[in-house]
Amino acid sequence: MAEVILRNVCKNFGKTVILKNLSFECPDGECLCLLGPSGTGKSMTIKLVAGIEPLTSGQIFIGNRLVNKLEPRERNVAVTFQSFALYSHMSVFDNLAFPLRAPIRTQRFAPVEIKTRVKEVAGLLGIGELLQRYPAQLSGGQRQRVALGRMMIRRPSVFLMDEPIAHLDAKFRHYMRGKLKEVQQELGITTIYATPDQLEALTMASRIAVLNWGGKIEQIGSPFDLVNDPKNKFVASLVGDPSINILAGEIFSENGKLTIQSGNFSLHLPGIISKKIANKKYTNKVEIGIRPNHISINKNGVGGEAGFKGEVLLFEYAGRYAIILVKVGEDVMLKIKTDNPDQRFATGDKVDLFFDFNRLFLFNPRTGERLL
Amino acid sequence: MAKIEIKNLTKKFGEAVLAVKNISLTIEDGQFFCLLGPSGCGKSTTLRMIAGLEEISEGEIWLDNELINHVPPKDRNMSMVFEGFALYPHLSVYDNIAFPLRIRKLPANEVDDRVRSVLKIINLEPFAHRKPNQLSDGQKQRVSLGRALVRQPRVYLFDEPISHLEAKLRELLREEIASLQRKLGVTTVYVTHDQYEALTMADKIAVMDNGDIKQVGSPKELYSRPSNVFVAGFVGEFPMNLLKGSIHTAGDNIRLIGPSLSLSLDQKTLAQLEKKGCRGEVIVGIRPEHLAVCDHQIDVNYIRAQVMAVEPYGDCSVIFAETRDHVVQAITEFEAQVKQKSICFELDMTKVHFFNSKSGESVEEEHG
Repeated sequence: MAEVILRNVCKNFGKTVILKNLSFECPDGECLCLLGPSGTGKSMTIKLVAGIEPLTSGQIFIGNRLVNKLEPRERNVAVTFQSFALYSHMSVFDNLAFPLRAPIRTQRFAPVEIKTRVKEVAGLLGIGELLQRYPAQLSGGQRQRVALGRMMIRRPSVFLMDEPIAHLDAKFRHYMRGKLKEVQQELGITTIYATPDQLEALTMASRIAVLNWGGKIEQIGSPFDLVNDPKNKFVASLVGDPSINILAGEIFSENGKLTIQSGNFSLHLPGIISKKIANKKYTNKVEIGIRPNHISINKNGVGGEAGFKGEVLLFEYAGRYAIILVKVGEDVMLKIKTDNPDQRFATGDKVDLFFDFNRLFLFNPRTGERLL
Repeated sequence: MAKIEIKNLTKKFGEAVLAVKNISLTIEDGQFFCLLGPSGCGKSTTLRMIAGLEEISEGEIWLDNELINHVPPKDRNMSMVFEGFALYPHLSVYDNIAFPLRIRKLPANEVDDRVRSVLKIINLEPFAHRKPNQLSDGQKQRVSLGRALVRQPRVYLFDEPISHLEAKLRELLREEIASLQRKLGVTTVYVTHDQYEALTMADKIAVMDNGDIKQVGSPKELYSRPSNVFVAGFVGEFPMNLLKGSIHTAGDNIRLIGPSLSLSLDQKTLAQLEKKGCRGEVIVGIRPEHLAVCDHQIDVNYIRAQVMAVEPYGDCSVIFAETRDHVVQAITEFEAQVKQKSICFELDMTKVHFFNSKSGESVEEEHG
């Protein structure tokens, strides 16, 4: 059992507020991702839980134990940072065994026990054949697995990871993400994982806490909650790739129908949406949010009912899908993601666009709160 | 005009290390050309030889009709943008961009004209008098881009200019660089390890591995007709699923059977496989988006597997499933509920690729 609970955690450096009243719970065995742009206090949170930085006020519990005053080594947590450093003069076996032999440990391990544990961890990570090698004789991937193994060997009750794979190259990041998740789930170890990368958060986490400046939690929920039901513009913009399209506009009523005007392009809302909005309080000014994969695109004239008109600025082929940048009206730009990359568009092509109105969000432009 | 021709180019470091092995490439005037490959594949070394920063061991590099092997870098009229921004911290944005012109002793009014027009292109006019430490990373990279633009070179060379930036910023700069290149039409060689950057930005891509070129083609050619298993695995957001199978014929019934898969082949495909020397074992390639979860019983064109994990990707989810010899990835709807442990995927047979199991080469006929 190692649930992690933060209650009203504050961290200041002099007058600078890094975290203000941060509270969340990470149940036993769950992987909670802290997702936010840089500077929102994700790394600081990891350091506070690890005990590397003292907190200014508040409480941190690990497995029902208040750990505020405990030394890092007494907290039974394992931390990884961006770089997984290995000891180059030690074999893989000795690197893995290091945390068990380290003199600061309160518990002493018999050589037989060390051997058993190293073998077990190496087997789990598929590096059992490499125990006699030195780091220089390993590929990047193998080194990462050794580093991961070193973190697991103490059987900590909590993993704390601060952008552990951010610096890896794209292909390898994909692979390591899978490996980390597999290990986390297999061992069922409570994990707190900080990242600015929404894709890492979506794929790794059971739940995601979206952090804003000062460690303010904007929303906490499953990957599906964040994508389909974001609480505000901040969350909607942070989650999803490419980012959601946000258009500033005004709503007004025309012959009983609601119309959104944005720049010099206007959008008539279908009756069903009009009804939904009618019951809500909204200002005239709104922001419209629509994800790139919820807009469909056709060459001008092709396709049935008229959509609204646009002009292609950039077509990006991405293999499985394509991303198309379209200018609508004078100053409105929309990004569209289509899963039919073989339908090509050239810069300057005139196109018709169709919104999936069931997926449209409206935000209050002042507060960012979601209206619809 | 700036067409680059690389003929039988080789780079040795000492006697033992062959970084680039006898490669030949043609980069057309105005083309956006990507050198794509994992780290250590020789792509940066190739770029540096084009720039003149690295000596050529063997072979030739031609710029239009001129052999440039021995032309010093400053006389090649190429601008290079590096991964680090390499800005002068004590100079303003304006002066950083003006720098390459001033050292060439251009008249002050021309320098001013050119710097101002570049500032407009890179959208940094209001920041002209800021120092680099007052800029965000994205703005810094734009300044270094501006410094490359201002010289109006014949060729732009990029060495992983955005790979170290965070995801959102990478997206923004990727689009800016691609749009700018299209607008200016200057021949561009762009080095990256990120297949996504290469696919979305380039007109043509050379995939490199271990000093060799594995395939040259348009983004679509590389994605939909990879000529070997390396390209199939490297290009694409997810690697192509590659599974082993062997051919069994009984009259008209031709089957390709592996530990967890069974495909029905026609005579034409069989003839093609045999022509390309595949007897017995074959590698079957299928992209994750061409596998469909099948809820009814099928006895052909399937892969059976055990679900390991389902990862939500924002607009789709990816199923990771274990066959007896492989982990298969398949794309499914974002909201899809995958509850079962045993799963069966149906293959879109029009999208299946076959590779020779010994050489790893595609059995498809080469095009173009």
